[in-house]
Amino acid sequence: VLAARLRAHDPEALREVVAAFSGRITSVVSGLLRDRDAVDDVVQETFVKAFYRIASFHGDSGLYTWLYRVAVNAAKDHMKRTRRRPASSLDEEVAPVVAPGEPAIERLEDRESRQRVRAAMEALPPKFRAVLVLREVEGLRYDEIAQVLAISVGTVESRLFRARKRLHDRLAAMGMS
Amino acid sequence: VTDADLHLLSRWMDGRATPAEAALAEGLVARDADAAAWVRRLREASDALRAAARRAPPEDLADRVLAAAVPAGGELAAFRRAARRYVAAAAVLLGLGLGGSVWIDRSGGPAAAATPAPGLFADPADARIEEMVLSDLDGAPARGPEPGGEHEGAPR
Repeated sequence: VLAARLRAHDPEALREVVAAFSGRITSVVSGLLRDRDAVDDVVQETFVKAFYRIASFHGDSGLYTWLYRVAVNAAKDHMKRTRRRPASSLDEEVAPVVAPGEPAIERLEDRESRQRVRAAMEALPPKFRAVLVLREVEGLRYDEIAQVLAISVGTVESRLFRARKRLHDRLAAMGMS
Repeated sequence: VTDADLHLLSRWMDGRATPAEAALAEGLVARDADAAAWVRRLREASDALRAAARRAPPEDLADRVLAAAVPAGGELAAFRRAARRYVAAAAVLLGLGLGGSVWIDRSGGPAAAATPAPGLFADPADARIEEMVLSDLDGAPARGPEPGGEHEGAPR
């Protein structure tokens, strides 16, 4: 129903889609990109593209799966556009996500841990980063990841293994115990 | 720990291992410190990745998306409406043209075409006045109507 209303270019349907999926799309894009401002721009771009490309959604997967696909492609396009730009410093982009009352030392350790993981993720090729984010951050099933990335389930399994191996090796090299 | 072991552990972490594979993976983690460290480190990395990626979208995201998408969408709708109007008008004109040509073909032409349109001055007296006025303007003497000749505005 929502997709049909989007096809009719109903602005209220677009507002409902943004309200329903912006959190998940933001997490995915945030897992793929480092730059905070770029995340917001790419998320916005994702929904605008979805509004205009809804005709390519045939309903053979969930709307959210299709939106993930639009988001991953938008993030990849952004990475291509900014490939030659110098990366920002880690301190700039990792927002502290801590519960109130959490001991300061644990907050510091958590923050350092997140920074290391993000740095290790950043070093991965985009195809490995995408599969890890969709699995670890969003908890998508293998078949859903396969639909989002337009690859086979076997390739999802293989990429996840190789991505984890690389991530693990890099974290070990960074001294993350 | 071999790559095959790590591949098995990766499947097991995702709940994709068969019961037999799961038993193998659990045994491997229990007896091999490297395998256990591999799984633990990746689980910690997974938690950290989720925490790092967690962020709220901007509050005004929906407004920003609509501002970026809907004006162009409005233009598209206006274009479609205009296109529909043009198509309808073209269909009407085509219909009139076809109907007219069929009517002319059947009747031998419009009846009105056989009757000369009345001139500006249909009355002969008025026609003479018209000729005089035109002559004055041209600076030439007024001429009477030529027999058999055409007179502008006068009926034949």
